[in-house]
Amino acid sequence: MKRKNRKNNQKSFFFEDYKESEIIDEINSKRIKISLNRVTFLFFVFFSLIFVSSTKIIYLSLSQDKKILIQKNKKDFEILRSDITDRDGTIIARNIIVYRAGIRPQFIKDKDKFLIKLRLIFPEINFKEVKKKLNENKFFYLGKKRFSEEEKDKLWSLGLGNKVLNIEEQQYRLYPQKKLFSHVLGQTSEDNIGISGVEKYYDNKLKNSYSGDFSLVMSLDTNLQYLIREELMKSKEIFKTVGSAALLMNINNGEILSLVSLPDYDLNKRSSITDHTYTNKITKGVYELGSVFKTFTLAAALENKVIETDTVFKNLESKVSCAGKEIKEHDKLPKNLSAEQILIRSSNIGSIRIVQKVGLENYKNFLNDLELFEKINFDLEEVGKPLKFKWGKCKLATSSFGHGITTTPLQLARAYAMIGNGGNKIQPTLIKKNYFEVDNEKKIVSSETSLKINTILRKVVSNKEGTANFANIEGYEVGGKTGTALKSIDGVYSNKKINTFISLFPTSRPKYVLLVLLDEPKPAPNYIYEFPNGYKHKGEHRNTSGWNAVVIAGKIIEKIGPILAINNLQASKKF
Amino acid sequence: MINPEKWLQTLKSNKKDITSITETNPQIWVNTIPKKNSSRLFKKYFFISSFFIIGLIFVTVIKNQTRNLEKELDNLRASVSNLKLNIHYATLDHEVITSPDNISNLASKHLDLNFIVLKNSQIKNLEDIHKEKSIKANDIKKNIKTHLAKKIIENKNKIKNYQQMYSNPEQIPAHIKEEISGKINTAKNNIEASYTDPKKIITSARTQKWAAIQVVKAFLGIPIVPGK
Repeated sequence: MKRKNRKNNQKSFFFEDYKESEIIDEINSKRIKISLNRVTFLFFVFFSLIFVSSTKIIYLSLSQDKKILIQKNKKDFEILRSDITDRDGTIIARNIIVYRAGIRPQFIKDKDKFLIKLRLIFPEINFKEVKKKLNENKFFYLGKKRFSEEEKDKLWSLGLGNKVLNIEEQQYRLYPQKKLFSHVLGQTSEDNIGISGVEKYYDNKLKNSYSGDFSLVMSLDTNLQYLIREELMKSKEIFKTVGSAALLMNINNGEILSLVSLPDYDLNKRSSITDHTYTNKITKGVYELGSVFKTFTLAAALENKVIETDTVFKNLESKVSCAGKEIKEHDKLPKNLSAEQILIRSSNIGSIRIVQKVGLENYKNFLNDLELFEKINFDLEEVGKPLKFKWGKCKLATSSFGHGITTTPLQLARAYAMIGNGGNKIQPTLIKKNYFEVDNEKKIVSSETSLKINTILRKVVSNKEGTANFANIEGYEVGGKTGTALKSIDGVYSNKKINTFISLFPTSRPKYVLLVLLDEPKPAPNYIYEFPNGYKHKGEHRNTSGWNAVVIAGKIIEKIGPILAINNLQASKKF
Repeated sequence: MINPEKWLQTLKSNKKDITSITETNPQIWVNTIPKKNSSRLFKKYFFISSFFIIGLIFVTVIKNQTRNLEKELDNLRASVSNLKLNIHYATLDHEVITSPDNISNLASKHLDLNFIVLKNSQIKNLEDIHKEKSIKANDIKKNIKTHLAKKIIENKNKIKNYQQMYSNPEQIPAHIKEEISGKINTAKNNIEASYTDPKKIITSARTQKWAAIQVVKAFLGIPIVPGK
C-alpha cells in the first residue's frame, strides 16, 4: 500500500502501513524460525523414538536371562477331589492326572507306519483292534484307557499333530491301599462323582473343598486294618469260610478303627460287582446273631432289678417247646444255674427264664433303647435295615437267646459298646474325632449294670466253663460273648452257620470293642488249637463260635494289642 | 461511485483526538511488537522433548522390568505347580511303597525272618532274668548247704553208730560179722591174686573199657591220666 498525503481537513481515518519490503523480510524470517523450531522438535521426537527402540534392541540382545524369552505354557496344578486319609494321615484315596488319547484316522497319511510306531511305544495295546478301528475311519480312543504324563509325551513324539491326536486330560482316583478299605471307601465314577461308600456319602465335601486345604480324615487305622484283614484271610484258609468280617471300635466315642468285610475287591480296578457275597457284612448285612443277645437279656434283667447276678435258677429244663418247635441247650448243662452262669455257659433255657422275669414290655423297651431294630445313622449309605417282626410270648423266648431277631453287626457292636462304657449313648463314626461325644442325657444302662456285665463277660473268656477261652490273651483282660446262629436262606433255616464273637477289652476299664463274624465256617479237624495254658488240641469237629470266631478274635487281639497299647503289660497297667 | 468526502462531515468533531492521532509519530510503534526469543524457545522445546524422551525411556525400562518380573513370577508359579505335582505323586508313591501289604510282601520275598508273635509270658526284662538267676543260684547254694549239712549229720550218726558197734563187738549180730569177714577175705584174695598172677587182672575187656574211656577223655579235652 502506498502512503497517502494527509489533508488537514480530512475527517476520515486511514490505515497507515509500513514499508512493504521490511515487513515481508520480517515475516519471512519469522516463518523460517518457526519452521526451524518444528524441524528441531520433530527431530527430537524421531530421535527419541529411535533412541528408545534401539536401546530396547540392545538391551534385549544383551539380556542373559533366557527364561524371559522362553515362557512355558503350563497350567496350574489343580486337583478336583480332596484326599482321604486314615487317622494317622496315611493317604488312602487321591486323585491323579491321567490322559486319554483319541485318534482321528481320516487324517493319518500312512496308517501302517503309524501302527508300527505305536507298537514300538506301546507293545501291550491290542493292535488288531486298533487296526480295525483305523480302517473304520471313525474317531476312537486308543485301547489303553489311561496314559501317564510320560506316555502322553511319547504319543506326542510320534509327530501326529493336533489333527490326528486328541489328548484329553482326566482326573483318576487312586487307592494306594488297594483292597484294604474297599467296603468303606466305595468308588467314584470316571467323572469324579462318588457312587458308593464314603466317596458317595461325603461327595460334596470332597468335591467342593480345595485339595491343598482339605482332606477327609477317617477314624480308621491302616495298620490295624491290615492286621485284622490278614487274620480274617487266614480264617478263610482254616475254617473254609465263604466270608468274614470284623469291626474294631472305640467304646467311648464310637470311632471305628477298623472295618473289614471279606471278600473285598481292588478299588483301582473299578469293576462293577453284582455278587451278594461282596456285601459289606458289618453295615449292610442283617443277621440273626444268636447267643450274643443273651448279654442284653441279662443286662435288661439287672437294669430292671428283677434278678441279681447270683440269683439261681433251679430245675432248668433240657428242652422247652414253643409254637410247636423245640428249644434245646447246645450242650449238657447243670440243672441249677445262677444268672451269671447262664451267660457264662450260654444257656438258652436259662435265658428264657431270665427274660420271662423281665417281661415283654421291659425287654422290648430295653432293646429299643439300644436301637437294634432301626436303621442306623452312619457315614455310609450301604446300611442294612433290621427285619420287622411281631412281639409275642414265643418271640420273647427266642429273642432272649438271639433267635428270630435280626440286626446288623454294626448295631450289635454299638449296643455292646454302650453297655460296656458305663451306659453312655454313642454314635459309630468313620470320621476322626478329637473329642469325646457322649450323650450324657440318656443312659442306656446304669454304671452298676455296666460293671456287672463287664465282669461276667470277662468270666465268659477266663473261666473254664466259659465259651470263649481261646480269646483269653494274657495282659488284655478280654471279655466277650459268643454267638452261633443258623443261617436263614430264603426264609428257611439251613445247617450253615453265622458265628460271631464280640469282645470288650480291657474289661476293668473297657476301651475297645471287637466284633468278629465268620460266614459259614466249617470244622477244622487238622487245625491245632492252642489253649491259653499251653495245652494243644487237634481233631476238633465242632464248628460253633468258640472253636473258630473266638480263635480268630484272640489272634487279632494278640496282634493289634501292642499297637493299641504299646504292649500288653502296659495295657493291663494303663487301663 | 461512492463519494468518500460526504462521510467526513458525518463524524463528530473531535479535532484534538484526530490531531493527536494524526500527529503522533508513527515511528513510535515500530519495534513495539515483542520479538520472539528463539533461544528461549529452543530451550523450551529441548526441555520438553528431553523430558519426554527420559519419560519414554523410564517407562520402557520399568515396563520391561515389570514384564520380566511377571515372566519370572509365571515361571516360579509354574515351577511351584510342578513341584506340587511332583510332591503329590511322590507322596502317593510313598504310600504305595510303604503300604503294609507291600512291606509284608517284600519282607516275605527278601527277608529270612520268621516273625513270631510272642506271648506275655515269653517276654521278660533282662533285670528280671538276672534276679531270677541270682535267686536260683542262692536257692541252689542253700540247697547244697542244707544237703551237705544233712549228709554230714548222717555220716556223723553213722560214725557214732560204728563207734558204738566197735566199742561193743559182742553186740554186733553174727550174720553181719560173717558178711564183713567174707568181704575182707575176698578183698584179701583179690590182692593176693593180683600179686601172684597180674595177667588175670589185665583182661581184654578191662583194657578195651580203659581205652574207650581214654578216647572219650581225649575227645572231651579231659587230660588223659595213665590207667590205674
